[in-house]
Amino acid sequence: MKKISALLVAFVAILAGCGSSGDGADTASTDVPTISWYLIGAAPAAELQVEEAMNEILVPEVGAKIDLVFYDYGEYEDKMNMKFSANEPMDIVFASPLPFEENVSSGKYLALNDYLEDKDVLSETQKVINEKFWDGVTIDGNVYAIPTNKEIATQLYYLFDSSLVEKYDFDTTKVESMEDTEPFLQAVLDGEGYAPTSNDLNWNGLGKDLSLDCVASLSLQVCLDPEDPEAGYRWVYDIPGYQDQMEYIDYLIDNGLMMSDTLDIVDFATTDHAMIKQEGFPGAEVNWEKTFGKEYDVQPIGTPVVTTDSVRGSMNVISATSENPELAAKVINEVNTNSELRTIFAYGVEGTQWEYNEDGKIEFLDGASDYAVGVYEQGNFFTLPLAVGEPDDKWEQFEELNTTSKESPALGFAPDLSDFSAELANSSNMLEKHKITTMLANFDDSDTDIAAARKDLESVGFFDLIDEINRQYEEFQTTK
Amino acid sequence: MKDIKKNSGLLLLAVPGIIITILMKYLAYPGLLLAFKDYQASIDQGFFAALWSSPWIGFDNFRFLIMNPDIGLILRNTLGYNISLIIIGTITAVTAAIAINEILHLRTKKTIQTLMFFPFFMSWVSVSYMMVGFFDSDYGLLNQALSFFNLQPIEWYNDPTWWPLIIIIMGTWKGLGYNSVIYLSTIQGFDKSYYEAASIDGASKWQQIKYITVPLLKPMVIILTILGIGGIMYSDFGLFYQLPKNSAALYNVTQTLDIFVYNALKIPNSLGLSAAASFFQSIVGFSLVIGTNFIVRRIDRDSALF
Repeated sequence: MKKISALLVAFVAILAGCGSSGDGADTASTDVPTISWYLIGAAPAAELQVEEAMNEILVPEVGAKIDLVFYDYGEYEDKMNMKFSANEPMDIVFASPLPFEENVSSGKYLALNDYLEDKDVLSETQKVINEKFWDGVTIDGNVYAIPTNKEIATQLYYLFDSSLVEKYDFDTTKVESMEDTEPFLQAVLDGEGYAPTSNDLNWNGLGKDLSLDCVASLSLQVCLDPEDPEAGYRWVYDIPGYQDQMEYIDYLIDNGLMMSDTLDIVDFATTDHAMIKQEGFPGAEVNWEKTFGKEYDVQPIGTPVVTTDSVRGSMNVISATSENPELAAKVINEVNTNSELRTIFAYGVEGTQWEYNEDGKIEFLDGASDYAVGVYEQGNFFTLPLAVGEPDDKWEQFEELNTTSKESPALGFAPDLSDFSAELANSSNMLEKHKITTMLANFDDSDTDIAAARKDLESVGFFDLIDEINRQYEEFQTTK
Repeated sequence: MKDIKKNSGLLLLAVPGIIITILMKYLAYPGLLLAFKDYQASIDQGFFAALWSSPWIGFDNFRFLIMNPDIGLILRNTLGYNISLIIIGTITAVTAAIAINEILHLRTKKTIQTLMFFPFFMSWVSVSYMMVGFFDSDYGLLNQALSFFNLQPIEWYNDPTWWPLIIIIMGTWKGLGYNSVIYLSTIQGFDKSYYEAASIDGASKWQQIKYITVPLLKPMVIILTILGIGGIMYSDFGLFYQLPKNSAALYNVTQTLDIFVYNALKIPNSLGLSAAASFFQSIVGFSLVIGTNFIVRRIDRDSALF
C-alpha cells in the first residue's frame, strides 16, 4: 500500500512539474535584468562561457545580461509556436521559421517604430542595415522585426570540379545557363564514364534559373516573374520558359548527363560529380570545399531577386510578452553595431574558440567545435572580422551583390490565405503529387503530364487560390 | 461499498490508468469543438477561451476532405490495407502461436519467440533505411540480382506495382511477434485436462488443434478483431510514410487518410482541418466497433465485447 501511494505521489509531482518547468530568467542575477534570446540550432557546449563573455560587454554598455536559448532545427518551430500561444514571457526571438503575418496580426510581435527613431535604442542599427530589408518586415507602416544585414538575396552558383575543368579545358566563366554546360557534361560522361551532374529538384532546382518570386506556402509553384509583373502570379508551368527547362532536364537524364535517381538525396561528398548547383553568397566556396571535399571553379548564374522571403530569411523580433522590451532592443542594437560583441556571439570566446593570426584574420582553434551556431541568425554580417581562407574583399562582394540584386515588384507582399485553408491544404497535397521529380520519373510527354496535373489542381481550387493571390497583390500595389 | 474495500488493491492499481484516461481523453473532449470552429488564436486569451470565442462555421472544415478528387482512392487504401492486415495478421499470429506452443524444447521456444518479437521494437525509420539497401534503384540488392539474371531492373520508389504487397508483408512481419504473444499466453492458459482427455481418446495432434485449441481461441480472436476494426480509419504512420519514403509517385497506393491529412496540413493554422479529419476518423471507428459488436452479439452472445 505504502509503495503504491508513494508511486501516486511521484506521479502527481511529475504532472505538477510539467506546468512549471520553464527556461525563464537567470537565477543568479541580482539587479541586472536578463534578456532571453531564442535561437534555432543545437545548444553548443560552450554556451555558458560565451554568455559570460558577452555579458562582460553587455552589462557595462547596455545594463543587461543575456540568456541564449537554443532549440534544435526539428523542434524550433513547434516549440516557439507553443510558447507564443501560451503567452510565455520571452524577449528576443529568431522569427524566420514562424508565420510572420499571422503573428503580427494577432499582436504577438512588438512594433519597433519608436525604438528605431530613438537614438539611444535602435537608430544606429536602422542606419547600418540595407534599406531593402526593412521593406520586407514592414506591415501597414509598422516595423515588426530586425532583419539580419547580410546577403539580401540568394545567388545561385554552378560549382565545377576544378581538376576536371582543367582536364577537359572548359571555360566556366562563359557559362550563363544550364545549356552552356552541356559540352563539358558530355566530355566528362565520355571521358570518366559517370553521370556528371545531379539536380536537387525539390526546391532549388528549376525555378531559380528563371529568377522568379514564388509563394513559399505553395511549394514555390506559384510565382511572379519580375520581368513581367503585369502577368501577375501564375502557376510555374504557365510562365514561359519553365516547361522548356523541364523538357531539357528530361533530355539530360535520358542521355546519361544527369543522375536519374532524383528521389534519393545525393550526398555529393561521396558521389562522383563534375558539376552541381548550390545557393550561396560570395566566399561560400570555402564552405563547399570543406563539405564536399573538392576544389571548385565557381560561377554565379542568373540575377538574384530580392523577395519578401529572401529578406525575411533571417530576422529577430521582440515578443509582446517581453518584460524589458526597450532593453531587448538595446541588446539587438549592440549586437548589430559592436564588432567585438558580434564576433563573440558568432565565433565564441577569443583564445578558446578562435584567435587572430598575424594578418588579423580569425583562425579557429580546437575549441571551435564547442561553439558551432547559426551565425546568420544573430545580426549584422558586415562588422565580422574575416576568417582564414575568406577573400579580403568579402564584404565588398556582399555589398555589390546587395546593390545589384533585382528588387521584386512584390517585395513586402505576402498573401494571406487563411480563409482558403481547405483549398490550400488540398492544393499543397496535389502539388506534392505532381511535383517535378514525379513528373520526370514517369515522363511521358510534357504537354500530357502538365495537362493531367492541371486537371487535378483545377478540381481542388488551386487556380481560385491564384486568383485570390492576384487580387490581394493588386490591393497591395494600390496601397503601397 | 463492500466490494470497493475488498478490491481496494486492484482498484488502486487502476488509478494511474484512470488518471491518464481522464487527462488525455476526457479533458480533450472540448477540443472536438475545433472541428466546427474557425479557430483564432489570441494573445490575451488562453486556448479554451479563444476556442470558445472563435466563430462557428458548421461543417466547413470537413469540406477539405470531400473536395479532394482522390478521397475515394484514399478511403479504399485505408480500409483495404487495414482489412487485409487484420485478416492476414490474425491468421499468421494464430498459426505462429499454435506452432510455438507445440515446441517442447524450452530454449528453442524462447529463442524463436524473441526473434519474432524483435521487429516490433524496431522503428520504421530504421527499417526504411535497411529497405533502401534492398530497393535502391542503382545499388540495391534486388536490382543487382535482377540485372544478374538479365532482367529489367525496377525503379522501386517510382513504380507503384509492388507496393501493396510490400506494405502488407512488412506490416505483418512487424506485428507478428506482438500479436502471437497474446494468443500464445491465451493458449497456455487453457485447461490441460481437455488435451489429456483427448489424447486418451486417441485424438491426433492435428485433431486436438482443430477441435480444442482453435474453438477455445475464438473469443480472443473476436475481441482482438473488434478492437482492430475500431482503428480501421487510422494507419501505422511509419509503414505508409517512412517505408515508401513518402514518394509522390507511389501516392495512389500508399496514401491513407492519416498520410493525406499529414501531407495536406503541413501548412500553418490548420488546427480546424486536422480536428475535422480526426473527428471523422473517430466517428467511423466508433460506429464500426458498435456495429461489429452488434453483429457478433446477434450470432453468439458470449463472444461479444459488451
